Amino acid sequence: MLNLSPFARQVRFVRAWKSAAIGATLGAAGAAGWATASWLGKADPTPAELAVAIAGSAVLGAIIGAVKPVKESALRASVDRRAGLENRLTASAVEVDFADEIRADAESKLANVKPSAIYPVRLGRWHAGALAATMIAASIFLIGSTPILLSPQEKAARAELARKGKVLERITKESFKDAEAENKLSPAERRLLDDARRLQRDLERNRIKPEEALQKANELQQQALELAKKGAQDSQKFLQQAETAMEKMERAELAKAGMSEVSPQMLQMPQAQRSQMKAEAEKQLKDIQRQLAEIQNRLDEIKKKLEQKGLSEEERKKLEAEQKALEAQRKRLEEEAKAAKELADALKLSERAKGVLEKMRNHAVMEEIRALAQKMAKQNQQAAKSGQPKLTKAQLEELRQKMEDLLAQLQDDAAMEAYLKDLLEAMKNAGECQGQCLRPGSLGAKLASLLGIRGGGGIDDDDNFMDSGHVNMLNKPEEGKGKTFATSVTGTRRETGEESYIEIKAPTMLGNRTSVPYKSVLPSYNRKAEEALNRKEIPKEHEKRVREYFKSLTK
Amino acid sequence: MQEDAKWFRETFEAVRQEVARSVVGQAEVVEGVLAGLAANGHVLLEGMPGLGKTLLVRTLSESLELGFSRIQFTPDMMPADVTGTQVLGENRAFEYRPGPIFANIVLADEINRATPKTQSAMLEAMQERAVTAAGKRHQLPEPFLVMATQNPVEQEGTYPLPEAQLDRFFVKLIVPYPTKAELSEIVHRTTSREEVAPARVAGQNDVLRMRQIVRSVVVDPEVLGFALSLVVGTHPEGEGASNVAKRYARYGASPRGAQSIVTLAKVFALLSERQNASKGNVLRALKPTLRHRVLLNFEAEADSITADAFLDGVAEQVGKADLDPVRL
Repeated sequence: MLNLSPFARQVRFVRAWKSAAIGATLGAAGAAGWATASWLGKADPTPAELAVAIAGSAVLGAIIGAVKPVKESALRASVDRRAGLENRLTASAVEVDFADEIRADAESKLANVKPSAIYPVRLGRWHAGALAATMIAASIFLIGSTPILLSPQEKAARAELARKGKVLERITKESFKDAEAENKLSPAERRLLDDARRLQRDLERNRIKPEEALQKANELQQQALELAKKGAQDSQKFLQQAETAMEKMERAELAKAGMSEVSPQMLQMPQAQRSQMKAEAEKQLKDIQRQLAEIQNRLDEIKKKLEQKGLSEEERKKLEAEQKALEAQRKRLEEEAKAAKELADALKLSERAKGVLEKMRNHAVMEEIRALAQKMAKQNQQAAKSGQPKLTKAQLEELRQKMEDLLAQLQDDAAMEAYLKDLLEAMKNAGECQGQCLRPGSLGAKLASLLGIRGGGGIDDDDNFMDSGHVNMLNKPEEGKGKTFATSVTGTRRETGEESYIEIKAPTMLGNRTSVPYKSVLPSYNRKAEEALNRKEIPKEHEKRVREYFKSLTK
Repeated sequence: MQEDAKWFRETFEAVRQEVARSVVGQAEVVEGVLAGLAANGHVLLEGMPGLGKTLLVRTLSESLELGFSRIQFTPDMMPADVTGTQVLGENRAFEYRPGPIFANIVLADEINRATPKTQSAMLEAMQERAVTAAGKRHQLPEPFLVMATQNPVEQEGTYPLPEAQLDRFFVKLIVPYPTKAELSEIVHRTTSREEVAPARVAGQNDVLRMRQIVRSVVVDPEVLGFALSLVVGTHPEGEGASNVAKRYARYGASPRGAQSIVTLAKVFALLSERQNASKGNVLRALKPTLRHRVLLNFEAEADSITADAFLDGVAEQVGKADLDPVRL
């Protein structure tokens, strides 16, 4: 039996070689059409996509050529013809008496024939066609993508659009790099990213009018803002959880020390302020007591006069009106006295309470948490500078893992454990929003703020973006702030440039003047209080007091 | 088979060399004549007078130790002059006297000078290999080979052979004019004192054996298909008709033509030291076997298309259609 396998393999190889060229030619022709459509603005292929179309067609062609069957009878005739074997191979398949002799003759001749000699691998018309078609496709694409056929004005306009396209590319790359690399973009983010890239390509290739590009860019910006706002809202929610956890922990610590009535916020005051405030409260209490004594004396006098006979009706009415006004004033002063006394008592207690919280905050575990928060804050600051608004899921996961480790170490401290559990829950929630929530100024920065660490800029309570603002703890009352203590945040609003703003974080506790108009901040605090009440975060025994307090303020 | 093939080549070569001692040049004609002898086919030689046709045939018969007779055809020759006739014998009875056709090798010289009637008698004997006279059939000797010569039909006083009779010739060989060198050699040999007497290098049985060996050569379907395509390609009508045939042919080659081309290809295969015929052998056999079997039309004559040119056109078209079965 003649061994024609090497020839069959060579035939397959040559067929694959030629079919690849045919496939590449067809693919390149298709790519040329695609590039033409791109030139006309009907399609949007990338160079890589065009290359894949050509290469894919070539590979497909090669596969088809390689798997195409080779009939043995045809191969015999073909080898006969190409090797000049004078039909020895085809004759060897004929059954005659001396078939062995014919076969031996064929084998001896076939032994001198190399498959590659009769089926040479060489460049043919299809290869030239593939090269030409590829060059045509590339030329069409390049001509359609480059400004060589444009006037100087058109070139300038196109260069400007291309430059904007590059900027857009950089922005989208920096904004979505991590999330895209980890395939964690939400559907909305994916749509936004695709739209931005499409716009970028249109700009670079001058396939879009400037007016249209501007309109599209505005639409994309609006979508981006909405996405960011949603993320900010999510982060606010998680921040509130963290805040609640922190307050609960602090209140639990104070309650454990028998000082449940002490506000944790009060403990953040510097010692000098506290002393000053305490002195003022005591002085105010004395003043009130003095005023009350004076009012009481006057009321006694009025009472004696009213008991005397011989008063005219007009004098009596006047005395009664004065008595009524004084009683009202006394009532108010009594309330103020009560409040001042409570404040004074609280300030006395706060000395001890601060010690309790200091002890808690100086706890080794809290130190670690603080270190974590510092890391988060630093990352947020870096992110704000580099334009990368997110922490990655991996980073979140790392922090969460460390929190869990700390939690394991703190099982003996119920309050600390509860706090950390809440904090951990907040972190998990942050992780579930796939990094979207951890933009500068969001959870990481706010946690840092909670823990007394200065953080970066971000999003304020009204969901406005800020440029790398900073948090200040004011050591003295603002000018004209009277007897209040304020914790304020200063910064600049992005949409209004360098306009400064101040937000008062602490509620007014005493005095009759505040750093900002009273009515402008009261609704916000009132709302927060109601929310806290609704969430059952206020101890039940204090709910009534809180309600009455805000009710009195709104009168 | 290899031994037989070797013997065939050696014998063939020996006869050829022996003929070449007397006949200068004409290598293809000599080979064609010997092939006809080996293939049991009659040979028609066409050429101008004096080109050595008769010498060739006579030398061949002498070197093969076969019975030889020569018939010079003339317009007044009768069929009985060829096949033999009844004569009144000494015993006062008619007896058959065989004509010159009763020989192993018959040289029918200038056959186209005889009338069609006489040609017909000759050709009947060629086909039947027997002669019937006075109701009695007389078998011709084996081997029996007719080598007819004819002058070109343009010459005056000739009777072109009918197509049906031409078909009985295995091959038709064109005897060309000798080259200057060959002519010099011819003159030298025929004018000197030396006379070459051909030696007998083969006999009657050798010829019969050669015919058996030729029949055993393998023709595979690929080659046979090619040969038949050529034959069909000469037909002016039909599925395989070539464009040349559609334009220039009145009648194409007959089945005898197919038999002849394959048989001659076998001879050529043996001469090529192969036991199988190839397409090359078929192509080589094309013109000798088919040139007298196709009848061209007036258009071909008007366009000066000869039978050989016609067959070249057929071969070219069939060759183009005969593609490599493995398409790359």
